[in-house]
Amino acid sequence: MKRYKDNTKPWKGPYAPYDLVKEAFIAVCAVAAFAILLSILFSSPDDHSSTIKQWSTQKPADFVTSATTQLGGTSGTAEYGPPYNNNGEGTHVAFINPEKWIGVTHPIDTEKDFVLGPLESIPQNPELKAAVVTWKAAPEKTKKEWTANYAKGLEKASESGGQVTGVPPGNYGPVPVLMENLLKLAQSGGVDGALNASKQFFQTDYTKPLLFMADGGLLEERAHEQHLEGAPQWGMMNETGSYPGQVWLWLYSFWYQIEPFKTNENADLEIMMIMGILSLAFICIPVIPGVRTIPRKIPIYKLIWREHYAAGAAPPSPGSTPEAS
Amino acid sequence: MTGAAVAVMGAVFNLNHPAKVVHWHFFQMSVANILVIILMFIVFFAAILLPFPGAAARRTARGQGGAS
Amino acid sequence: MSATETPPAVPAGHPDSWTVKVREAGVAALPPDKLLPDGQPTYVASWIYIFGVLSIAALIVLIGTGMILALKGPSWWHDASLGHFINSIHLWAVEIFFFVMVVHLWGKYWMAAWRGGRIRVWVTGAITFLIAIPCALTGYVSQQNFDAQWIATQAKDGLNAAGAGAFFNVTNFGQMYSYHILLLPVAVSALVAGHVLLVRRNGVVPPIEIADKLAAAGKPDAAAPAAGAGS
Repeated sequence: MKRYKDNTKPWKGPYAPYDLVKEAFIAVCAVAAFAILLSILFSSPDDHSSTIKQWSTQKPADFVTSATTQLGGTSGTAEYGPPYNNNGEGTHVAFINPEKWIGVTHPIDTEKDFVLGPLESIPQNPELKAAVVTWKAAPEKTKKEWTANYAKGLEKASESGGQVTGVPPGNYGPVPVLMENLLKLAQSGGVDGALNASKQFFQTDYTKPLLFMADGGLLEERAHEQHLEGAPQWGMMNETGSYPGQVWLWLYSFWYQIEPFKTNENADLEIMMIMGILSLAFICIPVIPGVRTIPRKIPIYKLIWREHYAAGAAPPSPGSTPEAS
Repeated sequence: MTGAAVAVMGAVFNLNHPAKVVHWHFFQMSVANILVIILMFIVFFAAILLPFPGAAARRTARGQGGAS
Repeated sequence: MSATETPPAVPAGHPDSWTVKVREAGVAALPPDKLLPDGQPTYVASWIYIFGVLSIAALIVLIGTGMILALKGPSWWHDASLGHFINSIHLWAVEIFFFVMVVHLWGKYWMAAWRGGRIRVWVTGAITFLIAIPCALTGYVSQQNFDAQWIATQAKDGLNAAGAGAFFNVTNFGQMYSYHILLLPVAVSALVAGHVLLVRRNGVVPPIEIADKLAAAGKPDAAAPAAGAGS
């Protein structure tokens, strides 16, 4: 196997004048001018954020269905596992399960945080209060039965004037009363406010309202329209509108489009591990045999340094013997 | 767009509509991103192929200092 | 003391002084004409060499527009057209930054620019690229618009899977904004500074070795083509 020893000796040859400061100044002016030009020509996107108020008003059945699963503990967030709760295993590759090892750091109880908590902020509603009491007193098995039945019933529901109608009669317990009041509260904007992390006036953490909305259909519908979904749209790379996005995420996005990752529930961890290894390899290119000799074998350098070689130095031809150390 | 008000401040060209996408088997990429990638290749090869100014000064330096 | 009197001589630094040691090490590693040379080797003769400084220029534009956005607060760009315009420049500068940085990276790879003791230059550059990616991500999730909502709710899954989500919560605007306007730009800037100082210290990597250098040193190399031929 040919071994190339790093053979660059300190340059003792001629220097030509080169004004680095002027070059840097020109570069800053040029980049600033180009960025300003692009901004004048194309501006930038700013699609307004969705709110739970909008979600519940535009898609009441979708909102109520999602809220029912939050109450019943069967939503994506409810069954997520760490770092939100211990109701799921978390993603793992063989025995490697970082989520589980680190545990719950941002506790979310969807039944309390997303449904009962906001409902308990509604004053002077005896029917609602009674429904909450009934719910809390019921055994777990009954709660699951009520919410599963109601979610099934909602499949036959229709939407009219921001209301959910047409749910067939069934064994739902107090769930319809809870959901009717939650929907009203959401449509007035009350759930947006109630779902913030801390009980203080100033808020900066939007984890709870975001997770609640992400379990529903509105964000996903908007994302689909804008080609932002991960698979099969390669959405990670995309920006809203027709703007260029995060092109540098191409390799990260790629893995999600192919088997076995496309249909694997542990794809997130698997792909993170692959990208971790590739990133490390990227840093270590100078010491990876094979990869570090490709530039010598595919001599693009001959184009870059053609003036230097023509002036009195010839590059080695492909496959030439390695230089003496 | 449901529930969204799009703000475009003074853009000459309005890019605020869902992107056109190029489909090929499992490959799906927005036109804007593909343009950026193609442009990168063009710029890279232009950078290594186009002559760099200052050749005369470098020739003089080589003549005066002698080749390495 | 009048203007015509010479000031007293500064006493020579004590040899055990840390200040003296740091100064002397600094000056030894990077004397002024190495820190800011006014010439470059004659082989620096390609447009590919400007992509490093273009990356720095883009970073300067990012920090400049970022400072203006930070001065006015995170909701300014939604309410004021000037704010939106500055945000547009910031966003396009991100595209330009990654564009020129990757072209710079391609150039350095095909030049095998880690040769001659320059592995740390490559390493600092690679790490800069890798740190710039979360720097951009934190910016995207700090936009306080639909794009931020979507990116945050999607990115959380990969980060949670890796265990990073436990202490890097993309749905926590306050945390992400802090990372974006302070912690990660400081990290990127420090890495770029180290990267550039290493380039100044080692010099720009010479061309891939040529056989006639050995010939000139009196070591015959039968496989080497004659000088000037075969390029």
